[in-house]
Amino acid sequence: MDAAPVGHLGYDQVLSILRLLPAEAVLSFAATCRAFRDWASSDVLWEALCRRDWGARAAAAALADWRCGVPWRRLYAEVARVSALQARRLQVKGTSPRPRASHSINLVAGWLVVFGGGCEGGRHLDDIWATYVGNRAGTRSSNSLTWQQLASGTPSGRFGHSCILVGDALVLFGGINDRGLRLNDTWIGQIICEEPCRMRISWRLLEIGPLAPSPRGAHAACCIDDKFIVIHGGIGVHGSRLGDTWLLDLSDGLRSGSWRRMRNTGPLPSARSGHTLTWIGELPSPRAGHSATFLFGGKILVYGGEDKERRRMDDFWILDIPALLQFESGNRKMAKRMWKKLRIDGQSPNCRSFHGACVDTSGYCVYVFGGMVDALLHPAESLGLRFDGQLYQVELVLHL
Amino acid sequence: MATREAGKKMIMLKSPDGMEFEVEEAVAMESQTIRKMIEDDCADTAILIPNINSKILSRVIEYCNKHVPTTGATGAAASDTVAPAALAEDLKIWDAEFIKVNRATRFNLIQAASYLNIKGLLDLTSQTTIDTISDNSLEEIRSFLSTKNDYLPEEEQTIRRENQWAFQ
Repeated sequence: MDAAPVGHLGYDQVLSILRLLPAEAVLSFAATCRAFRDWASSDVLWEALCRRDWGARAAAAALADWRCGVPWRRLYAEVARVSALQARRLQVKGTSPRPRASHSINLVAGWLVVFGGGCEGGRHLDDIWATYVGNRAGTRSSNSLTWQQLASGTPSGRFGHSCILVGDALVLFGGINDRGLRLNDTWIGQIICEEPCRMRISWRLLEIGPLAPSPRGAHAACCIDDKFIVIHGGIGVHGSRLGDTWLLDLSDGLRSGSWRRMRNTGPLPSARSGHTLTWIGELPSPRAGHSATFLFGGKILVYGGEDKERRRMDDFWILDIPALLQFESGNRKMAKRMWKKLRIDGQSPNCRSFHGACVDTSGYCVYVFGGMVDALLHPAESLGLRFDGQLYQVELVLHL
Repeated sequence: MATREAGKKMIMLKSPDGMEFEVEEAVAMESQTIRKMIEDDCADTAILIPNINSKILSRVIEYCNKHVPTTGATGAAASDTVAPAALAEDLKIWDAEFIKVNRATRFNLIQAASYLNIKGLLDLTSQTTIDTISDNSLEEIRSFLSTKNDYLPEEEQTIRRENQWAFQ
């Protein structure tokens, strides 16, 4: 009665089980005998595993970028064994935005947009800069970039704000100005591309009704489903660290929004600031936190920052979300797979903190701009640190 | 069409060994396959479920009965009034009991869940298979799947090399 039960299952039924297995278990299944290898090697199965573990959008991006002739199983393997980043400093023609930290950087409609931040002397900035890089690393010409300064002054100058991409618009919230005033205004920035190489951003204060989070800066924010913004924590009015969570509902197509405070249940992270928040539920399109950037394949790239002695760090790590979720659901073997330190080839962006990072739509190319860096090369400067204004491109090295 | 109680539509399911099961339509529609038949109006009298014997079919119906969202007298979802966490905990305990069956029955249930497209039941019945394949040596997996190694030694080596990325 117990004999060869799997043999009684049809291809479709076996496939429906294999789709539920972790990738390495599918490989074990394939390694048992020839007949099972044929079943477990199907492109349909590995496409399903890619979609499951990377999210539908990343799988679609892979389809567009690499699929010509490459089996899904190989794609899966390559993304799983990524171990290096290729970094380079991008050449800029003309004026660059001045060195800064705690600014925001977003990639919207192919334009990198930098707003605000703090600069030398603790001053806040209110300038907006944009440079066209294209939505995909592969499509950009290798020529140097040109920054354009856009109409600046609105929103008012600040640092430690959040600026999150929702569809094709920016949603900016809060921040701190150089009088130490914490803000709680919510702005919508619509990108308007006028000519192939000119753009502007139309900013307006969002109508939000009676409720808003208390004023703050250095909070963390992320977007969910192109409809909601969630913010958490930050530095409040008297320098206190906050631990509250708020949700901005933008389902009215950005015409208006409403903030509501999320009820606190269960164990909570303690109040904090300068952290990041990344939505991993549906594995949405890649998006940025301050130093944690949502990457291709359900991975979060963590770069730099400073330790408790305020030493800046130059390490890149990826946190594998599928492994994390399996670990959380009881698979202890995943512990060693959750974090991986990556090798950096090329021009490393070095030790850095309070920089900005964002990812393009391919999900494997990240732009890093500005931040605080070590000033060892400039002994004239005191304190051993300085603001930086370089733009770096950092790409996952995939052998396809 | 048979009806019982107020407004509850009943569906007749038939197994190939001739048994008939009368179930509420909502229970039957836990199966996406049956739901499609009903929605496409292909289910006027009785639905024959091929390949699933009465013993397995009755277990499947038992599962669906337990997992169908309960409805109150007004038709509103009663799960609004019960704490969802408590309900989920109760279901988990029930599921754990339900799945204490021998291996042959388990594979038959997988087959049924797959054909009838009942995701929860497929997840539940596949879990042991998933755990076994995930956590054991190749020899143990072969024994669990009742299959024999027909690779040449050098093929085995190639496979090990190719798969190294997943097992580092």
